[in-house]
Amino acid sequence: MDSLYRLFWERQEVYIMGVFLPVIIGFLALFAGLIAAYVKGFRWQHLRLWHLGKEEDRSDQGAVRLKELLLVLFANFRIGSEAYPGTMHLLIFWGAILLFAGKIVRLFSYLTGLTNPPQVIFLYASFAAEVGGLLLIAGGLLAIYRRYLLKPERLATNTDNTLILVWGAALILTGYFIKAYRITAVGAALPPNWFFWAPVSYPLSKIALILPRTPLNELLIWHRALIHVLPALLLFAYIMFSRTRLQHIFLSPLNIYCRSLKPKGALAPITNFEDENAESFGVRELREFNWKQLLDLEACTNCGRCQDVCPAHLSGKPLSPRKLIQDMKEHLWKEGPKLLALAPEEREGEAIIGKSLDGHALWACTNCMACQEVCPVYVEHVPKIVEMRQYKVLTEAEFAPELQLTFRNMENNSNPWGIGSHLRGDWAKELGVKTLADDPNVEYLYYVGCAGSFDDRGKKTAMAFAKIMQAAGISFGILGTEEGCCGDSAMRGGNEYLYQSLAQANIGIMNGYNVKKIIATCPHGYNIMKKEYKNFGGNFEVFHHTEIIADLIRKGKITLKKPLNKCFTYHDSCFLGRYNGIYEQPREILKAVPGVTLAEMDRNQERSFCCGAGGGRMWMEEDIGERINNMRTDQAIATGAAGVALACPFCQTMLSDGIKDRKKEEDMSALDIAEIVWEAMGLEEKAPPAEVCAPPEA
Amino acid sequence: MGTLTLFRALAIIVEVTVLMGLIYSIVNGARYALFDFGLDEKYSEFIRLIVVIVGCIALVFFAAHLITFYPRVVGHI
Repeated sequence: MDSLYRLFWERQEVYIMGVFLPVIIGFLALFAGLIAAYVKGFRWQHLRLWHLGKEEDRSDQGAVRLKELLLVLFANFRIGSEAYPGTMHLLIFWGAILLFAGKIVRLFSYLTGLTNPPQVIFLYASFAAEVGGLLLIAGGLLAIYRRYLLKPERLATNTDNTLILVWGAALILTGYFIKAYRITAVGAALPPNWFFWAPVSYPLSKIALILPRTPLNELLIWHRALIHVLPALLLFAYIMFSRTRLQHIFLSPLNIYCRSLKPKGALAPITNFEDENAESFGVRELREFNWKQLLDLEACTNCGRCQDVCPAHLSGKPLSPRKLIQDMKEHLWKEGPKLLALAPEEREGEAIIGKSLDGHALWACTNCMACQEVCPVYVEHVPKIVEMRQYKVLTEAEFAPELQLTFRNMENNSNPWGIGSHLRGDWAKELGVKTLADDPNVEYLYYVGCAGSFDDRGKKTAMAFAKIMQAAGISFGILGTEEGCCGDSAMRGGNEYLYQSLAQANIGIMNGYNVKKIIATCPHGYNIMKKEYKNFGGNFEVFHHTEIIADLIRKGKITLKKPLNKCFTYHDSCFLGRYNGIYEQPREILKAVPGVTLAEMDRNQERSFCCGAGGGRMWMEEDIGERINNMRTDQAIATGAAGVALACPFCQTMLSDGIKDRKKEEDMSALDIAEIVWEAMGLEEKAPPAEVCAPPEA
Repeated sequence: MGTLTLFRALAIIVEVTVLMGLIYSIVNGARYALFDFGLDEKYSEFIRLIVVIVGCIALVFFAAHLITFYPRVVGHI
């Protein structure tokens, strides 16, 4: 520390020891009290509300949880996936970290005597705090511009948002003012590079007005310290004890840490169907959620990313995942304390659906999980929706009539169409595909699924895939008439009882044949057998047909020799992509087909747009808003591709319908990847289509 | 001197704005916290009225206080 610095600090000493020290000591004492009250109040304010819910263990795999939490916190992983709000959050987050780091060093330096004589660390603390303030201002300005001028639809602005911005801005400014006035009051003897250590306060000090005598300036700076420190303390109190969205500072990290580590999209099965005393199934009121689901509600930051990607919302349905969670949060805050005021045996919560949630919102969800994929704090929307559907279906029997028909068909014929189950294996007869009854020693069970067995489009896919496997010499068989519906639409549609009976029937047969490996052409069956069947003793290695085909191509077991001369766009099925992370294999296959070019839609891979058939919506009327499949078809048409490549029979139906609706049948076709590959193998003579890969007409 | 007077007036306006920002934040923060703690919504209008009155008093006080006591000397010596 050279002599000029020493002189500067000595002149500051009167302000540091005479003015700031009492303020700092008072602040630290009150802040410690505040923290103690918060820790004690956390139970009253939050924990007891969450404990209204059911037990759920989220304490396993601490290292994995911590790693993801640190990634989200410090690298702003997920938050940064959108440039504008990501940058805004990054600036505010790191601004606050730097500011607090600087302030903490300074606060404790006063008490520990570090500043007298001054230490170099004090200069760094000053710099960190000043830069932190600047970053906060930059982030705050971005926030103001976005929230009050750009006004994106997804942002629900309320007075709390304004309050936080005004409070923060006033605190930062008063912070800079204190230092500027202190520098001015010291007068000459400023070190030459002080501008570097105080890049904002130093220029401000040049225009600061001060009083003519030191004691009066002490009074001036005392005032300034108070009007900075007292509101800062009150802001901390506000954050800790009110329901402000700034509580996400504590609640979001907790929610991220406690997120589900189960396979993506896996649902918890209902386990008490055998319980004669069970009066209801699914979720009617708060207490029927688990505690983590209640924490989810409080941790939601209302950022609206989920709303921006929700196909139901974007097509004009009465569902916004953001609003759904926010409405349930309000419900928790309103009804939770009322329940807690009663003895546990007297508690009877208000129904969520009908009181705080619109039932239509519940049924508009396609379970596409786009909302969960983008949520920066890992809120789990879909399980809540399915569990509330379960209550409506299993306890109240109040759901769409067309879904009633679907469930009845599944009960009677083990398929949603209600076609006689004895016809299930007919598609394979002419191909000579073996059943497991004929030969139980095959390597793979090809689980064909309802679409592959009964739907004309689905049958073509099943046949193409079976022919590919035969050509590649894969040892496989089907269950034929013994196969049953996988139960996905029943489960996602809230009929857990039906799903479990279908699943158990399938598992019984599969285990009876000692099945180890299953291939599915339908991502819904693939997903459910991979993740949900193990709850009932079905432990299988499950593959999707795109995984198998990609592997066959890689190993040279099939040769694609016939040029198709066609431009395709690939539609990522939600249950294959977001649920199971299979994005590359279908693309790898298409790229291997001679003459095929791939044009990506704007929304692809993790950001893919649902076809509208998931979550049981395949079987329900879509009479509100625009049809989701048409929206997706428009996105496909915009690529100029002549074909939509698919890997899901539900998506194929939806996009085929979309192509018809848009009157594009002559320009565009919706084909499963298996069909494309089979054609490219050139083992069946067929005239190649003319090249069509022109941009769409305006 | 005229420039200094103008500068002082501007400085006072900036100071009053910042102070009113703080008052706005504190009283509204208290207002929201009261409702979060369970105060009935029927008091909303009454509380809003109190907030406006407190805000007006603070505005008058800060303006008067700063006009009277704010330094008249250019800071940098």
